[in-house]
Amino acid sequence: MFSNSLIKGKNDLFGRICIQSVRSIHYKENHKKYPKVNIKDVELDKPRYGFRRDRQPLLSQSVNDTLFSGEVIKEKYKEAGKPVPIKYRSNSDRIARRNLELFADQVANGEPHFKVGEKSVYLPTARIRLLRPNAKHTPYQAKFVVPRNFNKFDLRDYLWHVYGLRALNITVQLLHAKFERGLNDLSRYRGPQYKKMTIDMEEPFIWPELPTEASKFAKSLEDQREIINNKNGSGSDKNRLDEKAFDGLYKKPTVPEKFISKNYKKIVDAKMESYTSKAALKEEKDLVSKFLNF
Amino acid sequence: MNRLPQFTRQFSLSFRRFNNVFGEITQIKETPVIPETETEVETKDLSPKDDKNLQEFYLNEVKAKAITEDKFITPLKRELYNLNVKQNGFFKNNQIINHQNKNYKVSLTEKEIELLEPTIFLQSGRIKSSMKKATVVNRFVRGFNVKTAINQLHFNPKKMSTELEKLLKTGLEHAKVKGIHEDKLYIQQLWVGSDGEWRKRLDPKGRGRMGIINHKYIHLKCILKSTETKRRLEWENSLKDQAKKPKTGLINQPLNFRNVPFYKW
Repeated sequence: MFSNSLIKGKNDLFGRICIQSVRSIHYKENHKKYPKVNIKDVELDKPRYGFRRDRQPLLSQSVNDTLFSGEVIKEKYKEAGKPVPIKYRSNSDRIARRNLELFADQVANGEPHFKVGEKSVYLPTARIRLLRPNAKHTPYQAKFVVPRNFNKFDLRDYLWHVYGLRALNITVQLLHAKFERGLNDLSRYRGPQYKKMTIDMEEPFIWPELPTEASKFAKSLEDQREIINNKNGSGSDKNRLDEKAFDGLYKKPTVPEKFISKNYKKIVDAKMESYTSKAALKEEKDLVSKFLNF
Repeated sequence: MNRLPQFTRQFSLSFRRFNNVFGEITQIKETPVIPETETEVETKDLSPKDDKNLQEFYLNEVKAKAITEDKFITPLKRELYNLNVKQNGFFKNNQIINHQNKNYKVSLTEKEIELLEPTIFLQSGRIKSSMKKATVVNRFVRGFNVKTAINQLHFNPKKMSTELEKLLKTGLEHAKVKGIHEDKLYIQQLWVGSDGEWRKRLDPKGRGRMGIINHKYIHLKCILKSTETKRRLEWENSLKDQAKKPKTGLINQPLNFRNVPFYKW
């Protein structure tokens, strides 16, 4: 049926499309109904971006120069006659601003920035210990070991009343002690738990660096241990030479060696001994004969 | 902050001095002030690696312990061996050599030759492995050229192959010191040994029985030789072949019965 149109439309694009659809279509295709497409209009590789509709920036996006922006954003929406998004309906920013102002006042007046505890301790016996910072801490953080019965409020009060230090935020770490081995048996036990607290501060504090002597001393202890281990080594470790301890003070050079079996060594040693004794004797004899003019 | 806690006790080791008990007799003269020379200051800052005296002392100590041919073979034999090698390219046994206007027939035993030939003996440290595991790797590279062995071992995933590779690499360093060409080295012998003092553990089994788990430790030992040895062995084998009697189909022996051209019955 299609042979006629096939021959007729052999050269145009449309004819070719018809040929392709011969197998799957069970009715006579009318080429007039087929959408006419110009090959030049077809965009083969459509861009995956930049074709979407550009939207107007949100009202909330325009505010970016204030600390607590919630209030300003809320005003803007109201002015524009739009409903305020749920996100900005709460008063949290207002409260935050009020707290900040209060804090600034307290700092200016030298008052505590928190509600001071009611129990008055005149001679505090608690011992707190300032620790060196870990890698994860900023200079605005400080870590303390505190007694286990301490809570955040205790530390806040303590630091404020003893040192005049404001702890802005406090986090607690309750840690378990390491296992310790008993001297006489295989038992192991844990010491008591200990508590650490990390505070946030107004101003940064950086510890002074450790004196070099301290690290040197620690290194020397390590080196001593390594050498003792080496000397007490078993088997082939006894003649191990790669000691890095004390800047390689105990490292000996290696010399290429030859192999000799134990039994053969015995034999050859005896031979060599007799040779050396003979050689020595010969020297003496020569001397004597020279003296006697033989 | 720069102050350290004092780790050492501060005792004074000098004795109490009775300066003026007996007048001038016991009066102690002022201790002579030793002038600090520049060299002394330098030695303080020296690292042990750069300390020539220390390194020399260590080297002498190691050399005294080391097994070398000069401790086991007489100088004349060594001299003759070297002359022989100079003449032939490798050692040919039972040859006549002229040395200081004297002719010597140099015949050395197999073990003497082995000691004199350029060889390197390598020993590993204590390795946590077993003999069974090591033997698999050892068989793989035994007899290989050292460099090809290192190449093969480098790409072998076994632990023992890395250990062996390390050992062979020290061998290459020794070869440099000895002046043996690296490409000419081959693994002549390679073996494992128990390193002793194995840790033992109980292995509880059913029905109240116990087994023992051994944590095995081993060492590797290796003898490297050069192509000089290979050539010598080849030559010796060729001599052996030459000395062989020609093959005969039948036994080439006199008959052990009387063969007479008549019947004996």
